[in-house]
Amino acid sequence: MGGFDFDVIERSLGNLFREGMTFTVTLTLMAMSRGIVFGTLLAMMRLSSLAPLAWLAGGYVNLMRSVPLVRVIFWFYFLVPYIGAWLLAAKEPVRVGAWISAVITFTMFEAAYYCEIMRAGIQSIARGQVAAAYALGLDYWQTMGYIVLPQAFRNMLPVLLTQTIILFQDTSLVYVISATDFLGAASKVANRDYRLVEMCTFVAAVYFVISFALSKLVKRLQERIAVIR
Amino acid sequence: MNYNWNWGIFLAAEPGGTGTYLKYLLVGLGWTLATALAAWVLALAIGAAVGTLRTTPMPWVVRLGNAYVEVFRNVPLIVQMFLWYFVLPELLPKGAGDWVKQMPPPWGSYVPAALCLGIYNSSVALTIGLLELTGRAKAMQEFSFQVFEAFAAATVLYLLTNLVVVLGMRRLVARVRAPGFIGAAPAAGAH
Repeated sequence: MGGFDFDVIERSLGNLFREGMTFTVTLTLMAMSRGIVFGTLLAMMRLSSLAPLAWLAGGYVNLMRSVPLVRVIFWFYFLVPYIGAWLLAAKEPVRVGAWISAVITFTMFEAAYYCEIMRAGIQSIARGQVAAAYALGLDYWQTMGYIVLPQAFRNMLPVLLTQTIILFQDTSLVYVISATDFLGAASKVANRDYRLVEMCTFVAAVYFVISFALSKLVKRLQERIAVIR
Repeated sequence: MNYNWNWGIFLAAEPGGTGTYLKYLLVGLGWTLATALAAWVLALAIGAAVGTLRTTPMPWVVRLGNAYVEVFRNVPLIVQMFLWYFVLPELLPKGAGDWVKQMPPPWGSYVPAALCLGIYNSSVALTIGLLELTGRAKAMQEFSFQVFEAFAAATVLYLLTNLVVVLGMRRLVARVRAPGFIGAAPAAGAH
């Protein structure tokens, strides 16, 4: 194998970030925004007094949390084309591709985790506030929208962001369906040029710098929120 | 939908000649549990040691402990797996590196995987060729083209394992819950 050749990183830098990192960041942001919306709805369902709703959401969340992400990625990658064919009444499985499959997978999967965070957030609000809101004549949606969810969201903001950092790291698992995210782009270069060691080290360093910086930011935010309270 | 369901596939022989697909998957489950167990023991030992280091009064030891935690928490698991598998043998002295690279399968993948892992993520080890449960389901799917049967079986095996954990955790949560918040059960059973 000879010595190390770190020039390979410089040569492929543009491609790695333009194509790979864009994929990774876009996937993270899309899965985060949709995941939080679905997760909040799931959390409201889980805490609902309507038993079937609570049961349905609880089942979904426990299912997602009991299956490893890699398996979920495979499932959706193979299933989505068939579900698409069924919905559109097409004869052949619909061609979906790694990108759409990844967005759907991560949204559905992360929704379960965001749900648990939002559930903890909602549960952190004193029961008396809900009673007070009902006493003032607010209905369920008003109570949730004006009283409970804004506070729950603020209480849980650091945890939601930490989960997003985890999501950012987890998107590297799209490697298993050969999508060209940051890791995928790097591994393609690595395999082409026989520079696995250099590329792996570089990828690890980039992920570390970004995640570390973000987690420091979250920590500062957490301290600021704690002061406001 | 024109998918040919064939649940009998599990009783058919797999092409490697080790027996049926069912046995093939169960051996995979065995590797998953073995990896998880080894990784868990290792993680508990290292975690306890590093955690203790971080509470000592010596600032540089604390900083070392913090650095350790930050490095491992901020690099995706799959990337760490590649580091252990591809990069570590290159960094070791030549003799040791060659010894690691030449370990007979599946130990060559098992050792880096067990070193690198915590319990929930053991299925990521398939990316470095450890034929645990997910890896075997994927292989079965490639040999037999019965995608959904293979993944359904692997998922069910995994679900059963993890459901036990989730249910246990739920009982624990119910026992330690503080009263007075929306999440707490109404005061009836409290003491």
